[in-house]
Amino acid sequence: MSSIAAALMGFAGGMVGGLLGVGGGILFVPALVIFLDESQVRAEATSLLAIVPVAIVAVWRQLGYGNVRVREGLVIGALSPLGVGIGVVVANAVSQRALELIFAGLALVIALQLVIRALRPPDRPAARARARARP
Amino acid sequence: MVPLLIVWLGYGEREATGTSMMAIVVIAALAVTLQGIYGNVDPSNAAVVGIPAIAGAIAGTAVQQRVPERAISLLFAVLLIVIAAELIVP
Repeated sequence: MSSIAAALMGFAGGMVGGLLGVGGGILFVPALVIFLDESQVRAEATSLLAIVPVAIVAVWRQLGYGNVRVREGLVIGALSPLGVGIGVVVANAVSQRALELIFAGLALVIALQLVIRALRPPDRPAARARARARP
Repeated sequence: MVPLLIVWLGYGEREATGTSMMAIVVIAALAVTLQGIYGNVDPSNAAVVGIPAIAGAIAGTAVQQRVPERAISLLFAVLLIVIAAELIVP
């Protein structure tokens, strides 16, 4: 029974992932912790294994739809260990609570920027940028 | 990653999500290799969650092509607000 619940949450995680371009870990991790009795640490590791095929399939679909800048995606992926390194240094420099609040503040600022952008009349810094990027 | 590509680099929403997925392939593959070495990965549990998730991802990307791009931005903003709330509430 709990495997079925975990599978349903997995499907939902894949759906959110495909829709929003995230891995789906936001739902995989709680599914593994709640329904499959994994610890938080193990669940995060197992979730990564589930993310790999999900991301590969999503990229394959998005390539078909013409929505992937392959080289830039690979560069971002390759640079990410650098980001992890900086993150570890910062995480050790400030308290857990401060880190949570900083990250929450950052998330809210970005959310606000997204909303402002989405509600703007369809005029066009973004469209111009896209036009520049695609000669 | 997706909102930064949109807000800072002027990507279109769909393009940002597709490119983000490309990066996630690399990041998740690196990270799961390391976690596997530490023995933290449970492949059978990953299959229980991950196989339905593959179907979900196909559905999600298909739906994404049919909604306006600004809806993707708004949905992502909701996701960020949920994450922020989880972080703020101790």
